[in-house]
Amino acid sequence: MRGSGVLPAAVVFVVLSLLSVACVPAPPAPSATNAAAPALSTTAATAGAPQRGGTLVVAFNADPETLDPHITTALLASRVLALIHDNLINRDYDGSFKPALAEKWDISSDGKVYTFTLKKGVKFHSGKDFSSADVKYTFERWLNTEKSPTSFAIKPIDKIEAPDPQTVRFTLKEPYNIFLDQLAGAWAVMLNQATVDKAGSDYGITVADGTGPYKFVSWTRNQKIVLARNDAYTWGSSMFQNQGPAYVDGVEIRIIPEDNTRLAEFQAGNVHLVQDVPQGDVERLNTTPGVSIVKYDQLQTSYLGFNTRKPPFDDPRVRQAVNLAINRDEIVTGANFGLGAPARTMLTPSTPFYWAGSDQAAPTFDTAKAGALLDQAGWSPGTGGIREKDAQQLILPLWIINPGTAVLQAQILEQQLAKIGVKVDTKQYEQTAWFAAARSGEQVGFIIGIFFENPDGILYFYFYSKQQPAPNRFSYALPEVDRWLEDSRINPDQNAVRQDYENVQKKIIEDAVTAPLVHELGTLGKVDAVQGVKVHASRWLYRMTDLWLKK
Amino acid sequence: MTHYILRRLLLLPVVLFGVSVLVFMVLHLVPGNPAQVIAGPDAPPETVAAIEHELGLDRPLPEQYALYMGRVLQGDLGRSLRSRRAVLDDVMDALPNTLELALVAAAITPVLAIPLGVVAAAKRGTPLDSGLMLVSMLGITLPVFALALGFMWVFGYQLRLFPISGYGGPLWTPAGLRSVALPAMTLAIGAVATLARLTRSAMLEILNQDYVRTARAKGLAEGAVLLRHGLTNALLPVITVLGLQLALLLSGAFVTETVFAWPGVGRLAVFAIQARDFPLVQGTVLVIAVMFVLVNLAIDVLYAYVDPRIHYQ
Repeated sequence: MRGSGVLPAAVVFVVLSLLSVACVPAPPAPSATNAAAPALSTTAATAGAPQRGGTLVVAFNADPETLDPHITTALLASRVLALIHDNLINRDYDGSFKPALAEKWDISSDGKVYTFTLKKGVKFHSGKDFSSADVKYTFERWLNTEKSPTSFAIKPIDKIEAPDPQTVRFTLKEPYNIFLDQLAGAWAVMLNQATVDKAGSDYGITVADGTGPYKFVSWTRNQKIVLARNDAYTWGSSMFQNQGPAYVDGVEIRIIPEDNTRLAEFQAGNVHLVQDVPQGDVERLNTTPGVSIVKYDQLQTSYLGFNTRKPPFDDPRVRQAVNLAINRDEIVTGANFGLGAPARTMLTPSTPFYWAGSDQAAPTFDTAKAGALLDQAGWSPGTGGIREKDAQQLILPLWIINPGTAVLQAQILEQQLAKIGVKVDTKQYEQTAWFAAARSGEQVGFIIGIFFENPDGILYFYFYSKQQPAPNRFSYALPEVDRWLEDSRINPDQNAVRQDYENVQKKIIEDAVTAPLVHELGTLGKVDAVQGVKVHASRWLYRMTDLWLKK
Repeated sequence: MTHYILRRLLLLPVVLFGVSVLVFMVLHLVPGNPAQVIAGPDAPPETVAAIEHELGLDRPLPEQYALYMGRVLQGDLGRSLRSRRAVLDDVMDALPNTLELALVAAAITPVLAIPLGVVAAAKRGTPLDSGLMLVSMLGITLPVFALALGFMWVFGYQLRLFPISGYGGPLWTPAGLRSVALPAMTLAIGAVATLARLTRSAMLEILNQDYVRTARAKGLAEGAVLLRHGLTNALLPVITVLGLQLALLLSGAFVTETVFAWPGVGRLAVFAIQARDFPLVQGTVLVIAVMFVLVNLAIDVLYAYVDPRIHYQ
């Protein structure tokens, strides 16, 4: 039985925690009036004018733990929260920020004071008016939730003031270029104090109250979550076509852990949308009448990482040789079923601040050059074609998660690296066990995925020295890299920030800290009746107000 | 008899103590720290440490166990680490669904298995017998998930007779009855096959006895011979195995429940283990252990009624 209950592979858990730490240096402080954004999203063909009515049935592969945004890191919880709630600002399809509950905002020149003006006439599902007091309450609750796994994302907040019902002012302890990212993040949704107080520890389990396009109706554990349209909703963000009430009467989320069962329900037409269709099933389903699979850019990269302190991979030449010996095209077709592009960089080309020079700097497939580097490093061909040095064989222990794409990727890597005399010794882990093992310091090589909507979430998060032992599993600690990363968060000058990010990207390619493998595409299954599908690279179907069911 | 039952019931806490210690140890041996799972694998170490402290996971194991058992004895199974929901609520929501599924499967089992076994025994050596035994062999050897997917494909997808997965409602509603059909059949098939084979061999043994020959000699109809003299006496081993199967049905539906998205205790346990949700794992395992012990006791008691030769001291 495949992947019972848990989202496929590595990526997921990474995604979970990353969703909390949205980042991109602040855009030039706008009073955000807006025009239609250019779409970098993935849109499925839509036919005709939207029709109203019908209940949209969505299949998830696990229960989303809790709908209390301050104590969860679950990706699926974030997808449900996005339907019930609004943020102050939204991240548009092109990565820019758009007004949501805040109609405009202003950032002080020292980058420390953020002032938001809120929309009028916004109401919670329970009927109460939304005001600046709710914003203050929500962020203070998040900061003060002791066991919140995500509150570090807003730690720079010094104080929050609500001078009048329509104004809220955040004062930061120091400039924090990724503050707007945090406000648009999955966990920064607006709560209603009255409801939270009344529900106590049942908040997010039996009760949820927001200002979003769908109201929480019920949640039968491990079975389904039922949401109904919020008919009063007129304050939708300008980034969506439909800013009024949703087209469908409601959303029903069915929890079906087993892949094959979920797909059988989908093919039978009992569910309209399926998140994360297993890669191996995409081809078959795409030729099945009545359904189709939307493949979308999700800013995700799978990579082989090295612990740069473990010999012999503490020698950059050995890491570079491995990088040169990998034929990524073979991996994309052989392991990812063609659902992705060969990756030579950690950031995807569509990530903001992607360094255009990466393409030149990153190594291309060249086994001769790889062999030469290993010769230079003192590793000469030995028995069985495996290179040796001082009676030691050149072996790469590779830790991977099963089930997951990494299983197939590792098999292909074994063959490819054998050609330059590197023996791969693959060890498979259940995913929770992998994450425990990979922070032990004993890891040498490992395959995992990362996903993020801005460079901070990849570069700072994974390569900053204080992020050891995890997520900096590379034992990578260079003072100059740390300096660039620190500067990228506080420097008010956009160009300086761009230079910082470029320096870091250049340096990690030079040092061959990782061997990026595949920029992996996401998969969404939809039946033909579902229209208006536009998948956001980091927010999936976001608030689902543009979706409708064709009768 | 009352004495015997009481004694067995008094042993229950001992069994549960053993089970709880074992589960506790195993959970703490398995790699993967629940605080890390909650925080997400990439959370800063301070966050993980704070959560560990909050959950008491930084204390010595014996102390953690004592604290846990102290609460359990007061009827508090704790809260799920992931959902923060009371474990007892989670388990009690799931338990009726598991019971429903197991009881339907248990009801199907003898109804199908015993007649099949009797027919095979009566027609011993004929193609019918061989055919039945071949099919039952398949029923025993096919992995549950393969069977489940096969049923789903045929009855759920092609014929659209039953829902493919999910819980449709309580048994007494039409939707509920339809939704239980496929998982119950899947769950029962192994038991039916085992039991049919057993019934056949028990019957064959009995049918060779002298009193059966006598019964036939005095001109009794073959049906009466088979049922009154044969089956009644062949029933004892059948009940033993039926009981064991029932206990298994109650506790072992992990795969069936997961494949059919059936919200029972087995599926809850699978979720809990994957999430390293310690209190939830403990809670589900304890409940499963209690059921196992009680069903076994019920079977032992049932023997005494079926076979007057059995007496419990």
